[in-house]
Formats: sequence, structure tokens, C-alpha cells
Amino acid sequence: MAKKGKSVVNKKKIVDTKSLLSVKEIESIKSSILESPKNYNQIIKLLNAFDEVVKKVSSDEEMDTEYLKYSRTLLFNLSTLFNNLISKRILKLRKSQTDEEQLVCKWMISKYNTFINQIFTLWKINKFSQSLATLKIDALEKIMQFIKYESKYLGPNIGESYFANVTYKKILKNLLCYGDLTEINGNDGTINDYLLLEFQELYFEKYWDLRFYLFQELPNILNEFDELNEETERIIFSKLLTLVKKNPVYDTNDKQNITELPLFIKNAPENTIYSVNTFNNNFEKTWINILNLKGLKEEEYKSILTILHKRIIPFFGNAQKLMDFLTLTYSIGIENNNDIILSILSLNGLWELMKSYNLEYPSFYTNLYAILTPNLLHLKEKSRFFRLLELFMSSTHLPASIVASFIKRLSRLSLTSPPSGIVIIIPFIYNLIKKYNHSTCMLLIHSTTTNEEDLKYIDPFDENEKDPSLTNAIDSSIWELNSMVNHYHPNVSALVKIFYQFFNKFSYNLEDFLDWNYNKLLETEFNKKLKGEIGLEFEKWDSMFDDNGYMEDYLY
Amino acid sequence: MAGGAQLKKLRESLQNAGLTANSFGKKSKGKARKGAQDKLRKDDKERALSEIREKFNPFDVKVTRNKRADAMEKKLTVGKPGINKQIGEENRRKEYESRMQRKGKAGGIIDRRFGEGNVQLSAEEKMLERFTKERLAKASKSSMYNLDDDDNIDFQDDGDFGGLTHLGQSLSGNGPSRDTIDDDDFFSKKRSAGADDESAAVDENGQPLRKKTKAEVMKEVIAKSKRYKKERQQTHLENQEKVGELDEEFENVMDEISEVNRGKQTDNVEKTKFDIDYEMKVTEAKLDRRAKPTDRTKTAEEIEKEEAERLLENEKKRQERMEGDIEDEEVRAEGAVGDDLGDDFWNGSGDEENGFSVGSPDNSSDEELEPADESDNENDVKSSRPKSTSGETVITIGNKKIVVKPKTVKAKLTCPKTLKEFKLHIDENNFEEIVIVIKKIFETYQPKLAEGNKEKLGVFTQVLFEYLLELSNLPEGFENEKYVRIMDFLTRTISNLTEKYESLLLDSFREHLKNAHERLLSQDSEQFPKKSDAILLTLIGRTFSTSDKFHLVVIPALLVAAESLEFMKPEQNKTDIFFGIFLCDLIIRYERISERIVPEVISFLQRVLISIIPKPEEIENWEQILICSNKPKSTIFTPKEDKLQLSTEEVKLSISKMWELSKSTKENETRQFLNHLIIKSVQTLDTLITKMIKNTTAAPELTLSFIPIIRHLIKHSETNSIIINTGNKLANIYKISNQERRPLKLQTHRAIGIAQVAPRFSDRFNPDSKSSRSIDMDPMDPIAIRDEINKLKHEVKEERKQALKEIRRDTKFEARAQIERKKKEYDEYHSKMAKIYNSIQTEEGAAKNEYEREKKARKNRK
Repeated sequence: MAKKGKSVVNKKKIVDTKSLLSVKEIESIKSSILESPKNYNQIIKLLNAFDEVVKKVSSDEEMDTEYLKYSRTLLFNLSTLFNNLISKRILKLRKSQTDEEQLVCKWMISKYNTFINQIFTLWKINKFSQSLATLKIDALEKIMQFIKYESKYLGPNIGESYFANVTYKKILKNLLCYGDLTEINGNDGTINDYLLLEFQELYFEKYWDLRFYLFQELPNILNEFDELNEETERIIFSKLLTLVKKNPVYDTNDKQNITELPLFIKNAPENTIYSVNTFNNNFEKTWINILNLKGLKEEEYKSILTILHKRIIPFFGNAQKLMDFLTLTYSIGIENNNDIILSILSLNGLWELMKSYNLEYPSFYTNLYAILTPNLLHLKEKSRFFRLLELFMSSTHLPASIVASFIKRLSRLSLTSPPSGIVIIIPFIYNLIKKYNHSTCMLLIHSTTTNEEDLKYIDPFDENEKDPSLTNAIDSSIWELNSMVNHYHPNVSALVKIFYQFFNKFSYNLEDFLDWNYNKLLETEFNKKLKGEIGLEFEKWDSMFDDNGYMEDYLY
Repeated sequence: MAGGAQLKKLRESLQNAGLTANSFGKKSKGKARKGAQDKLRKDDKERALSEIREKFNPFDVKVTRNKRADAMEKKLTVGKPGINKQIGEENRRKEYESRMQRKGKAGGIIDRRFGEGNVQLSAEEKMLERFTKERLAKASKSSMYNLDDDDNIDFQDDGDFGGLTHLGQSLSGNGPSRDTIDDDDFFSKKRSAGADDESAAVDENGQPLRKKTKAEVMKEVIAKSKRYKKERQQTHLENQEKVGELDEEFENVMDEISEVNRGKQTDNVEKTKFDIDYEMKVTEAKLDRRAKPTDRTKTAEEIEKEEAERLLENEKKRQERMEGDIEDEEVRAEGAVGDDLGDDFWNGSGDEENGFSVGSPDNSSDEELEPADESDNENDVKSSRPKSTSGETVITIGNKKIVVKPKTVKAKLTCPKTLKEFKLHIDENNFEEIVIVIKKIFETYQPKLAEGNKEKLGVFTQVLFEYLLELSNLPEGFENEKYVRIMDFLTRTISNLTEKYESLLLDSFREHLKNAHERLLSQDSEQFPKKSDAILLTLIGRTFSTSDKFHLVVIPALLVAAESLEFMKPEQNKTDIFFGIFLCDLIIRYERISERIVPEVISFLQRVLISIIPKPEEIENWEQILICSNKPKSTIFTPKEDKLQLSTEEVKLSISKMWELSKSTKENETRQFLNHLIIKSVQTLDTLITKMIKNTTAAPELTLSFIPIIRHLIKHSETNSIIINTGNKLANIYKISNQERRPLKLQTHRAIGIAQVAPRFSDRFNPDSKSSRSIDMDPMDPIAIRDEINKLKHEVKEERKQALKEIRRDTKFEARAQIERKKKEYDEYHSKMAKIYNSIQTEEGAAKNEYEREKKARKNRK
């Protein structure tokens, strides 16, 4: 296609070296073409003019409003022209046509493609300016209109169901496969491409058929590339993620009503597009293709893992296909020990598979236990993990030895944890003992040994044991957490005291404790009002540093 | 006025009710005509009158207000406490009177045994006494059972022994010979006095043992009255004589008084200057407030003692705050208020150095150092002046030289409100000048000099605070004495003034902390850490009581410090290493008393040690290290040599120097920097062990997790006493704490019952009845029974209260009545005696006259 564009440019140089056409000329050329097929040649003038525009835009820094207006008129006229031609079915090759007619038709089709390619070139201009954005978005609107017209008029017969998927595929390819890496959002892997967002808002999320064909065509598009470079892979990935992340592709609870969803093309083939199974299979195929891309980095995996269980798994035809992917990411996180984030994130998806798709996962709790590393409480994802952990530990069939191991391990982690972590652990343990009825684990808080036995007591906990059922934690105690009674933050120390009190509160709402961080703690501190006096130091020092100073070991 | 108004009102309201004289008159006219109607009207009138009475005596009526009852327009409970009281009083009086009438006329057996009813005697004493009396009685001539002798025994025993009575009368039959009532009185006296000799004496005087004849009585009375009369006459005579003498001398006295007066008048005219001065002095002295003895100078010992007491008090308060169980109000009441910012605080503001801290008496150590400082400073000032001569202009007028000092010092200072304004006043490179300017400002704006100065200085202190932090970011250090001096001066000033400008400086501290926190969040190593952050946090530690459990500045400061420890990267950034170790030291210093645990310090120290020791991948037992989930890797700061050469002497690290070193990229400087920090971090670990780890219940885990690192360090460095000592300490504490480890027993409190929530079904349940559970419905219902019992208990309690009240009222009334009666008796007695005296006197008078006449007659006869 790119080659075609170039040949047009060459042609233009030979045929026409005239300067810019005026708005009036454009109008007159358009009407003349519409008047009679004799004037079809005039199209080249317009296309050349538009080519000129694309070139100027890609080289110039900023268009002035006059020029923008001009280029938009050009764009509009060209698109109405082609729309008109499409509706006259001139762009359709038919056997009934004579050779001459076919020649004209072919020529016209090539011009039509030229125009579309010009638009794609326009899209690829990687600059940001207000006017360029307007032009690009206008072009999107026009080109989507073409699909509408094509589907309506260029089908085998008028009125028959038809979807112009060839053109749509071209559009998708240009929309999804090119872009700027710097626009990718570091936090969640989405991309900040206004054209894509426009497409998402006005077309993708609105119309079911466009969604359907997108997932149908995407594997084909990927196959078209012989070898994708890393950059393109990341772009495609992040664009697709952006499209899917915001809303579920359809409402899983309401599969029957899929036929009610609005369509962009009125005569789209209903039998195909309303088949949920086909859609799911396409969706699955697309995502498995995408996940198989070799250029993806850990960040991409993290960003997809965060949405996997909600936005992707439910729409899979056969979700077991994700099993390997998830178990692998999960064990990568644990085995390398350095990135438990991956494990934490894949846990959600795994759980979804286990719950709804009957996935058998051996030594689940052992692997879960392995996630409890010193890093855990420093992570941002800890709240996500604890939500799940509460779910897993709520099983009444868990042996006390396993629960005790988890409690003991968590309490050990508290020794190096920020207050936000400790604050989660305490109510979590309380809930385990009280709410989820693992009351045997009370032994960790209150041992029933006699004083004589205590004299000979040796802590039996084996911290290096990987299997939570063999750690002997049940005969140990949570001294680590108990030492936090002396924590510097008054709230933490107050919270630890719940282990000293009667266990007569049914449960703590874990959600209240999950999202604390230094920022929040500081904010509450700063919002406290001054009541009474501030406690002042009555010991006085001569100076800040040096001998007789507050910090004797330091100097200014 | 009020009375008049009251009267007027009364008249008005009477008129309104139609009860004035006129209406009465009218009524009286119509009285004859309408009989029954009139009576009705009379009732109306009564009612109207009582209403008016009530209105004018609003305190007679008391209404119990009840919000709900008011809303429901129910009848309010109206009580008349005054009237009720009066009724009660009357009832009591009636009862009392009837009792008094019956007294002595009816009654039971009175126990007259010795000591009965005397609380002061113990049972044993009583028995002993009774026994002796019994023996004595037996020893006397006749047998006890001789009824005839009973009289004697009775007399001897003072009636205390054995004499049984009935109805207050002696059963012996001699009763009538003794006055029962007197007897009674005697007994009461006897009991209260405790049956001693004294009462026996009274007995002899007041109560004749034998009834005297009337003649005898009269004789005695006459003799007595004669004696009294003679005495009276004598004193009267003496008085008369004295009055006579005074009368004679009166004129002389009057003369003298008039003379003195006249003399004074003449004096006034010819008063000398000396006299005037003298008088002035005298009046001055008179008007002068006398020095109070409390103002005397205290001895050194006393001052010491007071100081010790004050410290003790402070320590007690601090302890309470550390436990976190202090009540706010208490603090408010005890704590210093802004108003008690006494004059003495500012008095010394002219002082050198200590300047603005004089109010606080506890910088005794400061004072010792002061003289040196002072002279030092003065010298500095002098020496600095010639330098600034360029700014001085010398004007010569005749012989006089006027030196106009540079504008910065002399010019009229305005109290700067912003840092910018302040900078206009100072030469930023001349630190001494700045100190002088600051002092000048404090002097000029002493709060006692003008209103609003206090607030201005508060704002200025905030400005100084800002300036301090700016100064601390300068590339100056301990080598520059002037810099150190101004920093010390500023920190001391701010620290001391925090007490005075609590809320203002609280805002400042918070703002700076917030600022540090925001810079930290930006994750930019250029933005955070800065030297000013170190100074700010140190200043907080120095100023506030860091051991408090709740504290508006210390807790946020700790949070910011802990947050930076959490987010700094000692594996990548040298400044972070130094600043982090400094923060660890600072936090340990914060917690030196309260010994709270700060997990961030532990984790940071481990991170630092692992990233700067040689060959971290070879650490044995790395699994024991708490922060390691996998084998530690070497970082860019890992030393290349196998054996480190570390100094064993303790070096004081200079913040500015270390900062400089941390920014440098030179190989050898980096090495030097890191070697310093290895030793420093081991020292920090040492204090961490004693201050934070040793006393926690998690000591074995914490010590164990440092042991592999220190062992590794010992292995990979030349013998270094500091590291080895720390290693030994760790091992010791690990051993001891592991031995002492006992399983937790946190739930050792008494078992609690489980609340019963099981529903109870009753056949006789009646949804219409007010209380759904009552004993009538189901006599077995435990809740109903419990409620019933509670109700009864409550009733008993109320009744008891009422009864006690009633009894108290009764006794009070009785006491009053008794006093009244006594008074009446005394009055009667006295008036009786007065009558007797009168009659005797008249008799005597007649006799005297006769005697006089006789005397005269005899004289005449002569």
C-alpha cells in the first residue's frame, strides 16, 4: 500500500505541478465529476491536492486556521465524492460490466485506495498539534463512513447482508499497529492515543458489529506481519489493552440480549455476528495470539494480569487455555523470588479459573505460603493480595497447622514492615481466628502450656520450611507482632492490643485497613487540632551537634 | 426602688383582679342582697388572691420541667417545697410536744448499772468497776439483801449500782424522797462526764446530800449576798476615785492638745527644704510597698531542690504522656498558657547568646558557658566592626565625632513578616551581623513595649525558622565557626520560643514536614533528601518531647523519617545511605526513653549493611536475615577488596562533609565515605540493639537476623574492636533472650459469660401489654424475675434514702427544740434568781438605812 502511495506521488509530479487548488475549484471539480463520468480524470487533481496537504502537514510545525479549513474542505469533498461513487456502485467490479467499464472501475478503485492510503499516511504523522488532531479525527469519521457506504452498496447485491471487512481490516491495522511508545502509560500499560480513544468512544464501545469484526480480523492482521518488531508488539498490546480495559466487551449476565446491541452497519450479517460462541472464540484467539508475542516485557504482563480475571477470562470460549499462562507467571514470581508481584497478580486469574472452570492446582497453599516474602508488605499490590488471601484462608477445611504457619509468617514479616502493612496483618489474623473459626490458632496468642513446661520451652517454628503444614507454627507464638505493642505509631500499637482483649468482636472489616499508606497517615496527623499544649522537651542542649549537643555523634 | 416597684405591681395586679378597696366596698354593699352568690365570689376571690400570692412568691413553687411532658402538654408536676417543709415542721413539733408531755410520765425500765451506755469504757473495765462496787457494798456493814439498808447502798453508789427503778421511780420505796427529774439530769451529766471524782464534787455542791431547813437556806443566802454586796461597793468606790482624778487633769490635757495644734500651724509656714525633703521621704517610705519575706534570696540548696522538684514533676508528666493516658483538660489546666508569658521572659532579651531563652530557668549549663560565649561574641562584634567601616560615616562637629553606623544595624527596624523582608535587613554572608540584627529586632519588639509586638515576633520566629532551613542547605559546615554559631543561635532561639508561640510554630513545623514529605514523594534524588531535612528533624527532636505517645509534631516527623527510610535507595544512592543512617540514629535518639520499635529502621539498616559490605553473596545463613527472600547480591557500592581496613576510633561525622563526599564521583573519596559509614552503621546497630531490640519480645528474631551480617563483616575486615563488640553483644542478647523466651499468654483474663440471646416462647405473651415480659405473665421467666428484683432493689434503695432523710430532719428538729427548751429554762432560772436578789437587796437597803440612822444618832449623842 505504501508503494502505491509513492507511485501516486510520482504521478502527481509528472501530471500536475500546479499550485494549490482554490476552494472554489475544488467545489467545481467535485460537481463536474458528479455530473458525468467523463470528468472522472479530474479526481487526480483533488488527490494530488490532498497529497500536497499531507506532505505539508507532516513537514510543517503548525497549520494556520485558514489552511486547516482548506484541508478539511478538501477532505470533505473527496469523501463525499467517493461516497457518491460508492452509492452509484461504480467502485464495484461486476462480470456484467464491459471491459471498458471494468477498466474504468479498476482505475477508480485504485484511486479510492490511494485516497484511503493518504488518510493512513496522515494518521501516521507523529506530531501533536491541535489542528492535526482535528484533521486526523475528521479523517477517522470519513473513513468510517466509507465502511458504512461500502457495506451498503458494495455487497454482492444491494440489501444483502454484507460487512466491508477488507476496508475495516485496513483501518484496524493502521489504527492499532502504529503509534508512539512514549504515549504508553507507565502505571497501567494503557496508551494515551487520542485517535484510538476517539475510535473507542465513538465506534468500538457503541457498536457491537465493529467489536465483533475487530476481534475477528485482528488475528489475521497479526498474521500479515511476517515478523513483528518488539516496538510494534508493545504498541498493539497496549492499544488492545486500552480498548478492553474500560468496559467489558459485553454483559456476561445478559447474553440473550446481545441482539439488542446497536449496529453500525444496518445490513451486517446477523447470523454471524450474534453468535456469542464465535465472538468468544475470536476473542480468545486474539488474546492468545497477543499473549504469545515475544516482545512483551514484565510490565505488559503485569498490566494484563491486573485485568485478566475481569475483562478477559469471562469472554474466553475455553478459559483453560489461559491455564498454562497463569500457572507459569505464578511460579515465575515465586521461584525467582524477586518478583512476587507477578504471582500476586496472576493469583486473581488463577482463582477465577479454579472457581469457575474447575482448574486443579496442586500444592496451592504451599505456593501461596511462598508469596509471603519480606517484600510483600512493601508492595502497592498488597491490598489485592490480602483480599484474596482472606478468601483462601476462609475455608473451614484448612488444617490449623497451615493457618498457623500463615499467621506466624505474617507476624514475622511485620518486623520490617511499614505501618500500613502491620495494620493489615492484625485484623487479618483476628478475623482468621474469630470470623473464620480457626480458633485452634488462638494458641499462637495464648499458649496453654503450664509454667513448668514454659521453663524448658524452645520455639519449634521452622522458618525455612516451605510446606506450611510442616512448620510447627502452631506451637509457637507471635512474639513479633506482640512486640509491635511498642510501635512508634500510636494507632498500630493500639491495634495490637486487640490481642490482649476479649475476642468478643465478631470481625473487623478488612477493607478499612487495606489502603493505608504514609500519605494518609500523615494527612490524619496534620489534620489533628491543637488541644491543650504540645509536649515540649524539658531537657536542654547547648547545640544540635557535637559534644553536649542533641546528636553527639555528628557535626554540622 | 425595687420594693417600690414591687408594691406598685402588687397594687396593679390587685386592681386587675378587682380586689381593691373600691371593689370591696361595692361588694360589701351588695353583700346583703346576694348570699349564695356572694359566697361563690368569695371563693373566686380566695383563688385570685392565692394566685397573686404565688406570683409574687415565685420561689414557693417549683416545677419539674420535662421536655417530653412539655411537648405532650401534660400536667407539669408542681411542687411547693417551702410549704411542704413547713407542714413537716409542724407535724414534728406536734409530735415532739406530745412526747415531751409524756416524758417522765410513762416509760420503761431504765438501766442504771454502772457504765451502761458509756461507750468510752470497755466491757472489761465495766465489769471490773461493777465488781469492786459490788465487793464494797458487801464489805459494808449489812447484807445486800437487807432491804432496809438499800438507802445507804444507794447513796454510796451514787445510784449507779443495782438500784432498779420502775417508771423512773426507785423500786426501793424511797423514791419520793428524791426528785426524779433532777435525778435524770444528774444521770445524763454523769454519763457524759464518765463518772469521775469531778462529778462527785459537783454532786456535793450542787446537790445537797441532806435536805436543809428553810432557815438554814435563808441564812446562807443572806451571808452570800452580803459578801457580794461588799465586793461591789468596793469596786464602785475605786472607780469613783479614778474618775475624779481624771476630771481634775482634763483641763491640762486640753491645754496641751490646743498647744500642739497651734504649733503645727506655725511650723507649716517656716518649713525648711530639709524638712520638706524629709517628709517627702517619709511619705514615700510609707507608700512604698513593703518587701515581702517571700522575696528573699533563695539559697543555692533551695534552688537546687526546687529545680529537682520541677524536673521530677516534668518527668512525671512526660511519663503520663508516654503512656498516652493523659486527659486533655488536665493538660490545659496545668499547662502554661500564653498569657503567663511574664515580663521576666523578655527582660533578659538584651543578653548575649542566650538571648531569648532566659525565661526558661533550666539552661543552667548554658549559663555556665555563657560568660565565655559572651566575651567571645563581644570580641567578635568589635572585631567585626572595623570590617564594616565602609558602611559607617563619621561626622565631625567641633570636637565631637558622631559615628553613624551602617544602616543594617541602626536603621529603624521593621519586624519582618516574610523571609524576603528579612533578607533586606541582612547581609547574607556576614553571619555575625545577622545574629546582631535578629537580637536587635527582638529587643525592639519586646512584647511589653507595644501591643501586637508579641504576634509580630511570632511571625518573625516563623521567618527565622524558614531562614534556618535555608541556611542549613548552604555548603557550609563545622569548619566555619561563625556558621556553627549562627546555626546554634537560631536553633536555640526557635527551640526556646516554641513554648511561647505554640500554635504558630506548630503550623511552621507542620508545613516544613509536609514540604519534605511532598519532595520525598516526587522520588527525585535532587529534591530529597536535603541537609535542611536533617536539621529540621533534629530540631524537632530537640524541641519536643519525643517520648510522647500522641504528639502533633513528633508523630508526623517520625512518619516522614520512616517514610524516607522506606523509600530511599541505599543500593543506588550514596546520599541516601548517609541520610538514612543519620535518620536511624535520630530515630533511636527520639526513642531513647520510650524505646518504641520502628521496623523501618531495622529494615533500612539491614539494607544498608548488605549493600556496603564486601561479597554479600557469600553471607552464610542469609535466610536468617529478615529482609532477604533470596540471596543478597552485590551492589555498586560493594567494596572490591576482600579484607576491609576500618578505623577503630569513633569519628564524629560532619553532615556537610559527608554530603559533599556523597556527591563526589571520585573513587577514593567514595571508598573513604563508605568505610566511614560501615563503622557508623555498626555503631548505630549497637545502639539499636540496646535501645530498641533488647527489650522487645521479638529480640531473638531481630538479633538473629543481624548476626550473619556482622559475622560476615568480621570475617571480611581487619580486626576491629567496634564490630567485634557489636557481634558479641548480638550473640549475647540472642542467647539470653532465647533462653528467656516463653510462649505468649495474652488472654489471661477471667472467663466471660456468653450473652444469652436465645428467644423465649411464652403462651401467655400479650402484645398489648406495656412490658412484654413481666412476672405476672410468666413467673419462671428469668428476665422478668431479674427485672422484678431490680425494681424491688431500686425501691428499697429509694425508701431507705427517704427514711434516712426523714430521720436526719427529725434529729435536727429535736436538737433545735432542745436548745430552745434549754434557753427557756435558763431564762426562767435567771429571772428567778434576779427576783431573789432584788428582794434581798431591798431588805439589806432597809437595814443599812437603819444602821446609818443609828450611827448618826449615836454621833449626835456624842
